[in-house]
Amino acid sequence: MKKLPVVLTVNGKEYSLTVESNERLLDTLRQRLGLTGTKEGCGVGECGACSVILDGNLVNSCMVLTAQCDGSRVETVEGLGTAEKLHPLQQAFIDYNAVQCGFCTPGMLMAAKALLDKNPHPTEAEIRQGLSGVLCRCTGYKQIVDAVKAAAGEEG
Amino acid sequence: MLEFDLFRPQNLQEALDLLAEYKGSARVMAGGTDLMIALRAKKGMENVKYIIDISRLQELAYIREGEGLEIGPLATMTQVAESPVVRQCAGVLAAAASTVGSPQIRNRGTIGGNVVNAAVCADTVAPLVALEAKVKLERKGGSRWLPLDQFITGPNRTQLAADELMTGIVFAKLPANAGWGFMRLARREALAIARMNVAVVIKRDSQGKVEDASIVPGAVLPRPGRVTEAEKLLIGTIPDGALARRAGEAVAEAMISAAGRRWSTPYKEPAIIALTERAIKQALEVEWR
Repeated sequence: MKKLPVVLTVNGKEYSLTVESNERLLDTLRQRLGLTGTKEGCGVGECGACSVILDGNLVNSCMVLTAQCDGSRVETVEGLGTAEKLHPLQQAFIDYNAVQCGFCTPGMLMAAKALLDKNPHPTEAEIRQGLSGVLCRCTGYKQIVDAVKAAAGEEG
Repeated sequence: MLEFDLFRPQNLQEALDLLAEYKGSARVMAGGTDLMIALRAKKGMENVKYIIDISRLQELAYIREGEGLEIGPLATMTQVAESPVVRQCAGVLAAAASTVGSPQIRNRGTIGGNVVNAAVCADTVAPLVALEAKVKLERKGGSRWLPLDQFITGPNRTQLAADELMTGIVFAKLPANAGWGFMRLARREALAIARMNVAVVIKRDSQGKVEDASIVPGAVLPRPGRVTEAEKLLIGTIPDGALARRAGEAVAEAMISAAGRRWSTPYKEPAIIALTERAIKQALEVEWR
């Protein structure tokens, strides 16, 4: 299988990689770069656990080939905050108990960030639509929506 | 995941050259939201050795006004749904694009991919047929245009030759006297494939009489098309709720005559009647709830 050169900027850091033709962005992040915050749920674009922000747009990283991303900027959950200084969304998720099993949380956080980056003061309906591509099988949606609402207020 | 060699052409000409060279052993990838699933499942990919990634060809990502509205195949569902000119001149298409999948899918999935994949449930196909869209197919050294309802020949089947690429979708802007409706039924409101949908465009004269109507159901006929029996009921009338319902019944009859009565018919028949009735009422700007 043909290998291809790719330059990626992930959370502000540039990587020059050589990847397989069929390598998914999800696998590059998790296996090559060790960024295991991004989760694989369904692998077919239906659960959103693998959501990352690619050149400003929320995408399922299981549905993107890494070789399609040459020159792109990728944001993952690891880029959100640090242990000392959490991102306002992360702090709000803690404050509102918006985490149950935690598997959907990285996807939810990135979906929320993508939304607030474009629309800093969303309505509740806009928040629900912004999060609609990530499934929470614990069904803790209410707390998650409340957390995003609170973070939006804080950022504004 | 299927093993393949990926090509990353830098422009349309390179993509057409690659298609001319590899034809049936290559598949074109745009947003990948359908193809990645097929590659992962290795389904229907028996002869595929090469993937040609066109996702970065900005020259195919346009939405512009010419004589009509011209949409490049790489315009994403998000771009189509949010485009001011599409919303203004072809609202039925913007509405349909906004219902596809999830924000993640809409940011990646393209209108060209939706059309070329030709799933019976493809949400943009019914509105594009209602808008009488034509598609441009290009190959190395030639091109042709086809009406969309002829381009799609059956479930996941089109007239696209192995060395051709769809490079444009064109349709006339809706005039000021046109109203539209789009209704969709799926198991959930997000992240769900349409069980059925229907697109309606109705043009009326200054008295409110219907001059022309397009009624196009999706996922209930083997290939997309207008239901002229339903359209005829409306033309020349000032439709009321009862007539909208009769038009819905005509769509259900078309479904049953094409597909027969199946185990799902007791569910689908009243559902498509109600969807059509609501889409007509939406097009007429009548409250349907």
